[in-house]
Amino acid sequence: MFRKLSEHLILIIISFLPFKEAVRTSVLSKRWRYIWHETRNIEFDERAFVDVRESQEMQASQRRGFMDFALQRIQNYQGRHIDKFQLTLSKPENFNGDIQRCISFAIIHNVKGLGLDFSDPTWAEDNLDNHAALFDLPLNVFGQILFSCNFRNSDFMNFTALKQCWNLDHLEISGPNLRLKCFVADNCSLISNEIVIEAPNLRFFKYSGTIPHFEFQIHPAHMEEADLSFGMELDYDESIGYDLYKLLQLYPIKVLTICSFMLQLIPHGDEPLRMEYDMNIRHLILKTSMHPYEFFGIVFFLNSSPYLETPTLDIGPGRIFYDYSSPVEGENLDRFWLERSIRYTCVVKSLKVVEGTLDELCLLGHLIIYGKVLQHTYVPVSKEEDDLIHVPLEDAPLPTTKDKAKCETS
Amino acid sequence: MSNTSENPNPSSSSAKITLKTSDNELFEVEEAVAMKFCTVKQYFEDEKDNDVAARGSSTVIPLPNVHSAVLARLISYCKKLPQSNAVADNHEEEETKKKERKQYGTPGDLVDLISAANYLDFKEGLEFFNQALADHIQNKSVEYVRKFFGIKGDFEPHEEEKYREEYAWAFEGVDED
Repeated sequence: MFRKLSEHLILIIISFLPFKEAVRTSVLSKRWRYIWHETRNIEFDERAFVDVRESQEMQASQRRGFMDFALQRIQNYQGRHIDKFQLTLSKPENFNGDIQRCISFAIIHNVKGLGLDFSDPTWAEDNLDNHAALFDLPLNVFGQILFSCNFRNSDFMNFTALKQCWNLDHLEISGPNLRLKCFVADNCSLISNEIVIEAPNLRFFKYSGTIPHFEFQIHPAHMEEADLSFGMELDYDESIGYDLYKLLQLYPIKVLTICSFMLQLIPHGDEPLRMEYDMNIRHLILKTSMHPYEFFGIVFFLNSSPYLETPTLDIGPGRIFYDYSSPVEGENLDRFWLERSIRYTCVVKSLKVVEGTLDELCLLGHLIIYGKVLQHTYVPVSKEEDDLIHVPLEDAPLPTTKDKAKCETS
Repeated sequence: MSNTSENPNPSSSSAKITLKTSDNELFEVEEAVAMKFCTVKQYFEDEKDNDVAARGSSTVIPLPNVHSAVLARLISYCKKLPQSNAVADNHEEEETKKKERKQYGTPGDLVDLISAANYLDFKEGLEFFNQALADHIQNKSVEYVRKFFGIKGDFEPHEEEKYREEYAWAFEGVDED
């Protein structure tokens, strides 16, 4: 069957395979032996080479073997374009020059998606307990500068992802015609504490880590979604509220994900109860522990988002700062939602879907009672159970919701 | 000079374009669908430049590399394109998409579809059917893939052994047949 296919077409097929599978096609037959060399989907992943159960010396040697393989492949690459280039490497500090070579190679070949993952598989990510240990590590482990991530004037990139880049010296992604649409930086801490992004076409921005100084130049018409998480930030400092407030002003975004840290700090910015102008948010995802210290933050976002259609409450552990001080005096946080009679514009006019869990019944109740055009409520009891039971809202004793509205609980 | 030479409006759903397949079948398809095929679009635009009467159904565009059975499937895929091309953002959706991709039949069918999509320069289709093919051989052994595609291994056993040794890491963690 493949006899009638041109090698060009076989290459297209191979380029859609994960890299490891593409390599395996080399032993299918003589005809297939070298076609994979030009695959447009390149994923160099040290995990296929390095066995973490081995001694450090052995691992270092396996890692060297991995890097040699990668360098040999890019030196002999004959193709012109690459769709995706991914480099996964856990000890980047030993390979500065090689990494730079890989990135240059990807950029010269007009890569559409570039991923750099420098996470260490022996550390659990996103685990708050683990972060304490992380900061206890002797400085010399990551004390030396990894490298400066500089994608200046690298056009053609649509997607860039960085993962666990500790002590990155400096992060700058800029260029007058940068096509970067999607930027993800996970678990980052920067020495210079500065991120410069000049990307007129940026649509999606995700950042998690400590709070750096963001310098943004984006085109407001394009920006659609942001996910900001500062769970690695350990200090409670009310002046950060001001920085956060400024950060939010940049975006005409429709979808926003924010963390517990943001909810506690944002009321300490310029204005305690809302942005000075309406935000354009349609879908708001609140990563919250539903601690009373976060309530003013929630009110802040409900107040600022008159077009909000879907608020999602994503309940998880948050770092609660016990030196928190309420931005408004004399508020009884225990009966916070019960005593709220303010009607948020968004709740009455545009709110269509509510997602949350039973733990936030008070807030959910508030949203459901006042939600005039509410269509769906999703209340999964736990994340393990995916089965949601549809309960049409007409059957529920909620007179204010309209026909066809649905409530899901389990 | 013709004052009736109205520009065919691309947004008008009524405009039809006739495509002729390798087995001489005629397909009358909506312009919006036909324009997904860049090869057709290009042909159409070239004709227009040449000032040949290229208005809708009056032109028949020959597709000598595409069989009618394949074109019919491509067109039906095209029509449901909007939902099938949405980015899957969770596991469940990805599973649904996988099932949808499974419907497109045997490896032979898929290869025909990929070949036609490539000829027609139909980007979404090329991506979709390639992904469907990739699903089929995901994590499968060399023997399985050979059998699946009807490829005959033509290496000497010791040769093959050597090549496998060279990239031994790529042969780890493969599913049982």
